[in-house]
Amino acid sequence: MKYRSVSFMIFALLSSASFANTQLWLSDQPPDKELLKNLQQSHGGLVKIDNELYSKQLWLRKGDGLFKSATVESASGSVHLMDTQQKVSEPVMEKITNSASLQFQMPEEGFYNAYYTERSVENNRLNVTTAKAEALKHSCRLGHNYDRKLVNPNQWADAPLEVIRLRLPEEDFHTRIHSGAVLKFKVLYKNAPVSDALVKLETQKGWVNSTTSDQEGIATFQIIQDNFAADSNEEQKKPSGKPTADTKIAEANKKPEKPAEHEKHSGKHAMPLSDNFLLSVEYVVPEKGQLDGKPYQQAAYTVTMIGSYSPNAQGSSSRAQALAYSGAGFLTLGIGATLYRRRRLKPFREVGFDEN
Amino acid sequence: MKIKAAIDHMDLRRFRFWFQLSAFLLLVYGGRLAINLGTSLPTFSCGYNKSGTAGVCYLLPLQHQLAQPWERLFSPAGVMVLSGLGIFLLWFVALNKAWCGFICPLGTIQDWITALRKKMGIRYSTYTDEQFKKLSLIKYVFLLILIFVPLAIGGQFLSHDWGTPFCQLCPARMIIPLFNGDFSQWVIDFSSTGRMVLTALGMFITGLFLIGSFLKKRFFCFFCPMGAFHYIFSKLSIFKLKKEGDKCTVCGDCYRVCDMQIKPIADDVVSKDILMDDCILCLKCVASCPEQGALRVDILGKTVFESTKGGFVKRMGLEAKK
Amino acid sequence: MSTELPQHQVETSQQRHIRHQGMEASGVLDTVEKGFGGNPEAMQYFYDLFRDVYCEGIKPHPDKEMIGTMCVQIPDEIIHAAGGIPVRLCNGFYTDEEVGGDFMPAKSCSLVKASLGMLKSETNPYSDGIKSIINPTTCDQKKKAAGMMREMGYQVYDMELPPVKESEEGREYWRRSVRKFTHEVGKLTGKKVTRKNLKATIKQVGQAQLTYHRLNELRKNTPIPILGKDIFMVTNAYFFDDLTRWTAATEKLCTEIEARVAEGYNAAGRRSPRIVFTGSPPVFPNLKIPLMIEQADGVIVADETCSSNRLLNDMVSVDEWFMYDMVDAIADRYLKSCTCPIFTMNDDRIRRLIELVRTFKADGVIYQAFSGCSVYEMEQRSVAKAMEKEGIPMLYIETDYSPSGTGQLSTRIEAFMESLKVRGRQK
Repeated sequence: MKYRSVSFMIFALLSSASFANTQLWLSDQPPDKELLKNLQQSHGGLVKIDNELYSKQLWLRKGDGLFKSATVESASGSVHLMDTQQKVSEPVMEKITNSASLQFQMPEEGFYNAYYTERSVENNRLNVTTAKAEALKHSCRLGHNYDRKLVNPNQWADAPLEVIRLRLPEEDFHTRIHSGAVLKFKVLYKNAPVSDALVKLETQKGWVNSTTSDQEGIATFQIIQDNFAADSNEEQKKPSGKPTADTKIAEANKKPEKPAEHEKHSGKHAMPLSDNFLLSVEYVVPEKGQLDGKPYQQAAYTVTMIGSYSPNAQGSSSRAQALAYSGAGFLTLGIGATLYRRRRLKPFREVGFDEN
Repeated sequence: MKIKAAIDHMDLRRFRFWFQLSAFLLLVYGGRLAINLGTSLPTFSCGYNKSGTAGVCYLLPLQHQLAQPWERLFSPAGVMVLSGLGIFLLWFVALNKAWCGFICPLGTIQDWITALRKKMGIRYSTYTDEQFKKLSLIKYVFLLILIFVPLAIGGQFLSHDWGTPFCQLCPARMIIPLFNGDFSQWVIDFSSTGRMVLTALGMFITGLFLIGSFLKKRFFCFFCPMGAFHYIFSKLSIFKLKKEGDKCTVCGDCYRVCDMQIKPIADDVVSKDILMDDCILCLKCVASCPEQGALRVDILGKTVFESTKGGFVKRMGLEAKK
Repeated sequence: MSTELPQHQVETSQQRHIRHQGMEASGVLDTVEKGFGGNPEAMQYFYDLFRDVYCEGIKPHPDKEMIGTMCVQIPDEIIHAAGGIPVRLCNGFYTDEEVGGDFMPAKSCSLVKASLGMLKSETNPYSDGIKSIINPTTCDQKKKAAGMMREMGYQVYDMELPPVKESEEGREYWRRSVRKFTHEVGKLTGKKVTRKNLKATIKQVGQAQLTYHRLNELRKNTPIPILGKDIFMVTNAYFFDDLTRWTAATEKLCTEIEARVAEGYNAAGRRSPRIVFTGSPPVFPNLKIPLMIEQADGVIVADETCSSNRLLNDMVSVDEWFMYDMVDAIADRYLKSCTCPIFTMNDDRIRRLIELVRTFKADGVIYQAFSGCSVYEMEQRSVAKAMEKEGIPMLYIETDYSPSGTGQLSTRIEAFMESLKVRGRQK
């Protein structure tokens, strides 16, 4: 046991370095602004609504971090989709505007999970990289008497490595994650909770925090309050909520970057991303086996998941100011009416004339 | 006939108080008992009162629906907007503007504030004719805002931050949730310019509302776009306020008790259908009219409540004590 | 001392005036009381009241502060609340008119002349002792009378009434007038008008009005249970009688008339035409025209005059029982519903007449105008036109207080009654 924890420590150091490497994830942000026209902001992100039929479109993105990423042209991994009733199907990726994309319909209300998995063997090590996305379908028009169980996360037993976001207290389809919220993620391997998996959360602004999962496989983060209203104010012309432009973030982080390189990453029509955190989990097991004839002694599983959070309601709002404004209204009319009444007690005014 | 006489002689003030109180409890706390009257109510049953509301004011879903992308709104799918309107109309047609005078929780709150003022012995304010004419246009401005701002959002001319503009301005959003201990709407949202402007204005209007309804009877109803929206459809209603001009002596009793200062109720002796756009159908005019049958309420052409000398005498406390 | 006076005592002008006044009053009272038969028993109170005041010289309010009012627009409620007794100074005595003739041009209204004469001679038991007079700016003659009353030594308060009642300016003007009056009347009586008092008097006057309404409502019945001359006696008594006593007596009358209605009693003839009376106010003892109508087998079922219906018809409605609301409510009731011809517009009065004819099932209208009462004379045309349009027969009578020329008038009235009867048969 002791040996194991020490080895883990070493491993953790190694792997944290490896995290700086390229990551892969599924995002619902289209690579091209033009594509936005067909999409609508709904609960849980962008959806396409065609004649009351909801569908979700996800794009595979790759990069060193949220602010330095681009869509992927082709994808060769396997794709799995789990619907709200936890039935798993295997849809295929398609290529839309030179980007690998997964499109699926969401007939029922609830959460759909999409998984994209790539496997490869390098240096006797099996790398299994899974990009996971949770897509929500909820339409207020269908009412709010839905089964509350649908809010719970779905879990895929056959996932190479599964991570699920445990729900907030009293979470429903309308709940948004705010800065400062305490998020809990549960890591499962072969359908059993995994302790000591390395879980890292990275925000769009470059805040990184990592931890390991506990005995129950749970990793806990408190989202940093880095998403301030001031940033998104600059972006309010954009129709889709509060996205923040890549370029702006780069400046804000004062990370010197070559403009040419950046342009390459973000494509011609740079899309502001509303993804603002990327969760990744890495778990290494001493597994032996073969993949396409290549043997391996060790297996490294990673899974990524994207999420977004909004500025904290308390952080970006002011009750004191609210009271000040209502007080101002109260006093304006109150004093105004009092003065008016007082003035009315004097003999009434003459009719005025304008000589011009 | 006895029943009719009893209705005509009723103490409207007391009846309204209890009716309004019941409606208030139903709409503001009914949600706790899982009462759900839908989202097309023609009254300010505020949807922001999440924990208690028993139904949602139609203006909230209306603004949501109108903010859809135009391709969708002006497609067959847009019919859905009409279905919401249909349900709204069904509710509305039954009671006409009596929704305002008898059910609206915000109206009831204003009446309570008025009662407080009366307790304190402070006089009420009135608008002059000039002020009345100018101010009465504000509700139409609100109506235009709540229709065209969402449409502009749907057409991608405006950001979603300007969504549900009227709800952001409406004092009901601030006031009604308070009755469930929910203070969360009393904030200014700095997350975007749009939100900030709207919430700041909303708070200012809430301040105006609190003092305004203290000084002026039914202060906010005068600016209420729901009232203006009602008026568009009021002719369809089965609930009518009628006037028999020949029986009217133009004494102005009805005008003087009118919370909304509607002058034609006294001066117009030609119109039969006397419901005006500012009317809240509180029926105080009918109750204060001393002329037999000069003012009356018809439901489906049947008179249910009319002005009677006996009723007037009873309500004015002129009956000889026995 | 009186025993030592010489036998041949020379009557002073005032004594002569009182004697003439008494003769005039008792003459009319005799006709009213004995000329028709079938008087309601409860009417005796009113006959006796007039006899006591005019023939016996008994003052109705011996020790009270009386405030004279010149027109129907002066709010009684406020005067009562200030502890005063409102006494309406509109007068119907020919005896007084002769005295008043000195003040006014020959072609002026008998009523104004008579009122001035009464104030000059100080012989009217109910107005004697009045120091303050409230004079609203109604018709020109009343307005100019104010100066003459001042000359006689009365304290006259000019209460400004707008000439247009439809406009908001008019309403506000009058409200200001009444608010100011509320303060001023308190100074006249020495008792401030308080909220409590005003609320009480609004109710008191309201109850009196209510009793009148109850009585008036009974006149809608066919057959008619009470004659118009009695109604004029009742409403004329309201000019000066104690409010509570008047209300009680009228209540008693109502009860009696209700019993009459129940048994189908007919106070008039079998086919008596039902008449709505309008125009210059009949004030006791000038009940000349009403009496002629009823002597000619007509019956007055309703009226639209400021000495009767207009005096008591419209009631105050208060939303909040505070001074500001009560005073404004009173102001509105006295202005807005007033159908006095001094206002620019005549529509309300015409509408009211038509409605009265309809609800009281009247056969015709008789319009009295005192010669010199220019406003009523001028409105005659428009009213006649409106009545013609509605198909309501109308008789216009120009008259004054003089006892002469009655023959011609009664002939015209009789002819009108006959034509109404013929018309009734043809229907």
